[in-house]
Amino acid sequence: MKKLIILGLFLTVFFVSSVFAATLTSGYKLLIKNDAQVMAMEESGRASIKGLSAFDLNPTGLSEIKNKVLSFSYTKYFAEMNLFNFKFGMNMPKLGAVALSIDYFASPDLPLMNDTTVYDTATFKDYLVGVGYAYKIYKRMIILGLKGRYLSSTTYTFKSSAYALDGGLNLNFVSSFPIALTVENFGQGKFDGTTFKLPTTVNAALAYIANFQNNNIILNLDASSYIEKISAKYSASASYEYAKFLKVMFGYKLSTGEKSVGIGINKFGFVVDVNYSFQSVDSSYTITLKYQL
Amino acid sequence: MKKIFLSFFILSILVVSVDGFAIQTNTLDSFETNDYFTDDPYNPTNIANNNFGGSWYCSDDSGGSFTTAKHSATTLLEITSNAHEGFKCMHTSYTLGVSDSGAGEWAYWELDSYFSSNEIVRHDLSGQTIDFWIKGAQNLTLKVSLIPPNASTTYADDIYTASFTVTTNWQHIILPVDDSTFQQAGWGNFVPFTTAVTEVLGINFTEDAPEAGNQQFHSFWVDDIKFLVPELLTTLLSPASGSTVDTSSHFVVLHWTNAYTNINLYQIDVSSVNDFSSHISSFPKNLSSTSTVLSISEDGMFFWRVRSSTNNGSSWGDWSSISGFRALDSTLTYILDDFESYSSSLSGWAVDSAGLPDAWMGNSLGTNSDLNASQFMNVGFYCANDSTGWMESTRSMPSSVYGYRQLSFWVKPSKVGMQFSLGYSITNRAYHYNDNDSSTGEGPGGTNDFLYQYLYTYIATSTNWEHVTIPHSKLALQSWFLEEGYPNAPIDYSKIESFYLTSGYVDSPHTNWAQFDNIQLEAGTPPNVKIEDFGSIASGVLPISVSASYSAGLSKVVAIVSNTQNHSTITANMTAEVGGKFTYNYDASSLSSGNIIVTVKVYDNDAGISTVTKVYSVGYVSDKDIGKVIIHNNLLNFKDDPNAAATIFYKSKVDMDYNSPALAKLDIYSVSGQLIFEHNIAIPVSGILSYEWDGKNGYGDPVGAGIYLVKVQVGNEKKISRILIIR
Repeated sequence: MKKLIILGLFLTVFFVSSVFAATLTSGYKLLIKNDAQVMAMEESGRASIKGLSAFDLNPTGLSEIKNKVLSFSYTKYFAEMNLFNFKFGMNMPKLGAVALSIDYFASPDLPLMNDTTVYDTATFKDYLVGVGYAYKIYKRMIILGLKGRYLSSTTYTFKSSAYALDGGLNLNFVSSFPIALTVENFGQGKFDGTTFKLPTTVNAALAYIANFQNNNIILNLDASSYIEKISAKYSASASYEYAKFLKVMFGYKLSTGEKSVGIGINKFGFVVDVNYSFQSVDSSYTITLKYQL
Repeated sequence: MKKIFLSFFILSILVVSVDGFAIQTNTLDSFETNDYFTDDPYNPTNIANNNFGGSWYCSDDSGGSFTTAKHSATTLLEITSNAHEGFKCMHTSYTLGVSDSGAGEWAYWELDSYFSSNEIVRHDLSGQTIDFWIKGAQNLTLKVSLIPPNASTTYADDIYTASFTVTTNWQHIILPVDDSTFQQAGWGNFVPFTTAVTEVLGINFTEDAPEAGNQQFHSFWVDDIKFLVPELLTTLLSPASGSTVDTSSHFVVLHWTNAYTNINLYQIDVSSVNDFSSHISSFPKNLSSTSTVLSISEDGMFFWRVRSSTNNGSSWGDWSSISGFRALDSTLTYILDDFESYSSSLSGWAVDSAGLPDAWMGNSLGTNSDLNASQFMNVGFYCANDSTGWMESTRSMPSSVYGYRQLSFWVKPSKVGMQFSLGYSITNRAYHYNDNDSSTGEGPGGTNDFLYQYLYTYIATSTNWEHVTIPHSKLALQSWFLEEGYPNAPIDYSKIESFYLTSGYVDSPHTNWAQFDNIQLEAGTPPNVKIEDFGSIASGVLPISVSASYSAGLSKVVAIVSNTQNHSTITANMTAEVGGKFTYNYDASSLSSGNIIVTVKVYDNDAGISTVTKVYSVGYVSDKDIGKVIIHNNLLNFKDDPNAAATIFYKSKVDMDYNSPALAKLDIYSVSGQLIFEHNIAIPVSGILSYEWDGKNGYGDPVGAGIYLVKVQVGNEKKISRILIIR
């Protein structure tokens, strides 16, 4: 039965493998992740990620938040862009877990050039606000997650905004083999008065969690595709957690060859995660600081 | 807060505008901003913050006291709108001067160091004035002295002094810095000021008192002491104003001079009208030399002027005087007269044995004062109608000229209603006289060309100068050829032989006359031609595509490709394709950065010529841009232009050689890092990559609005830039 489920999940995204992103969409900023754990695993940890970091990847993981937690992330992004994120999560007994996330994208000005000269300078402002919710049902073996986000942008003289809805389902019938299904970035936006649809993705993931002398080893496998134009991308990752103090991570995207490494340290209620990614565009790094209240 | 920033911004602009250097005003005092002169005059260290680096002082032979007066704003407002605080030398004062921190008695204001590095340094004193406000305690004769470098302060032999009188009211004194105003003091060998002095280092004021022992010094006040340095305008050298320039090469090199050493930006303004109410081209130019290349695609008048800046365009000097030239493509238009260069004979026109024009012509040249000087037609000739003869231009036509189809000229008749004829002759070797007389060289077996003459009868409508254009269709074949049964003129023209005018049809008695100038034969109605959009340079080849339509059959289509960087020109016949298309693949492999100008000329069988020019930008990939991704039109607004496209340029840091990569990789990503588009570009020898992106992804579908990342990778070298798409 398990094999059938796994096979079915991956068949849904196994149609055509292509390199190009979907067309006539905007709001790509909604696809940017700003969490060191998420990036260290090349976004493949949808089935296993837990806590506040799950906000960016699969909201079902928010259900594992313990009490209240704060996090702050900074990403040195491509093309001299800098990303900042603040999150707050809280788990309410019997009511589920909720989280709030605020992103700010700091993009350098862009000199606009015609055929001969620079004639103006474009500035950018992007804010992203999101709320997430997760709840466990059916003997805590099924977890539902939901996330809503709102993006407000000013690009040169043009205003744009977008609403996105993300949903996740986690199946933990076998605790060492969690399975996740998510739909991300479903919604639409407006750019200078013109409506556009968001680049929505569907994702399926599974993980294998092994406990070796009380230290966790997690292997993740993930498939992701745009809905509009099926173009499956696969990623995998592995992490090793030692004595709940040290965590090392490695992620790899099979279709693009992009890879990331990361390390996390947990001490005195503070968690510091750092990752370095070798992306197709350029390299980037993210630092995430969490504090357990 | 926004208002504050806005106000500051506007204020900055105003300040910058005011700070132009049309007249360089150097205020030597700073009395409005410093409250001083209350201390011992022999201790000028208490006088601080003078903006020329020294200190003003009053010296006193007798050692008497020194006081200054801080004038009331009310009084001094009578001078200017600003509050002034000049200072006063009391009656015991000897000299009001400038104390230099290191020179002791004399104050040397150094012209060079006074000007900041971004302003003009001039050693030429011509045109400069010294300007100040002054009043005395009573009517006085004062003098102001200019001290050149190394002047003797003991005998004042090298000091140049100008005298003037003052009253008890404030007066504004402006003294030109010239030989008559400033004359040498002391007992030295007198040398004119502008001969001996090229630089002023010091200035002082004193009462023009008798010799020592009889001195009767009195108080006076001085304020707003300025040195006015008029700007030296840029001088335009070539093309000479009024000249005619053959622009068949499609370039004119503009030359000028500047009077200053630290100009860092010129603006060149080109217009078809001499009031510059419209602009053909107006562009700033960073220059190490004082010349630039102007692209000329059409005949006509071109006026140009230049102004300069020493601070990268934050402020500009005055425009130079205006110069104008006439652009004529010798392959399109040919001027038959040569009146502008006339000296002692009617060069270019038939003259008799005495060196005078044919008898039926007047032999004096008139001045066309009614003509606008900008048209450069200020000299002409006139002919009196006392015969039925005709005059023929002896100017030889270029052998490449075929089928001029339009005649134009300026004319000033002496009487309304008078008639005269103008025309031109052509030869055609296909037709001959029918008399079969080989002995005369005419007809079959003869060698002479058949001469056709076309005439147009002009009836004067005014006695003012008028510009008359006669299309070829209005020129009638001279009737007696037809009457004698000779064949009609061929469509396939041969070389034009001459231009002439006759008085054969002029009213009788032949007492009227007319003046002519600028007699030109020009191309007539051209075939239609359009340069299609250029392709991108791939493998060092730039495909040029032309569509041409015509009514008389195309003779040839020629592409002329010019590189503004080295002024080289390539001329090539274009290859005909189906549907009126013509192509030519220009070898751009050795092209450096800059623009290339493609001119296409289409010749039809009716001798019409059409020219169209288009500029292709190879990219401003200068040395400073090496290693950067430069994107032209990096804002693609498909709402405004559905066919918008960006041109991506990149020049590698790597010196291209046989070990270099053959291909560069161009990838375009969404802002979240998803690959949108990829393309491999062959690297030309020049190392300059160029690719035109139309805002579509790898599937050929348009991408959505937003920011996209453009990455160019050559080997291990990669660079990223951004592009903005609006839909």
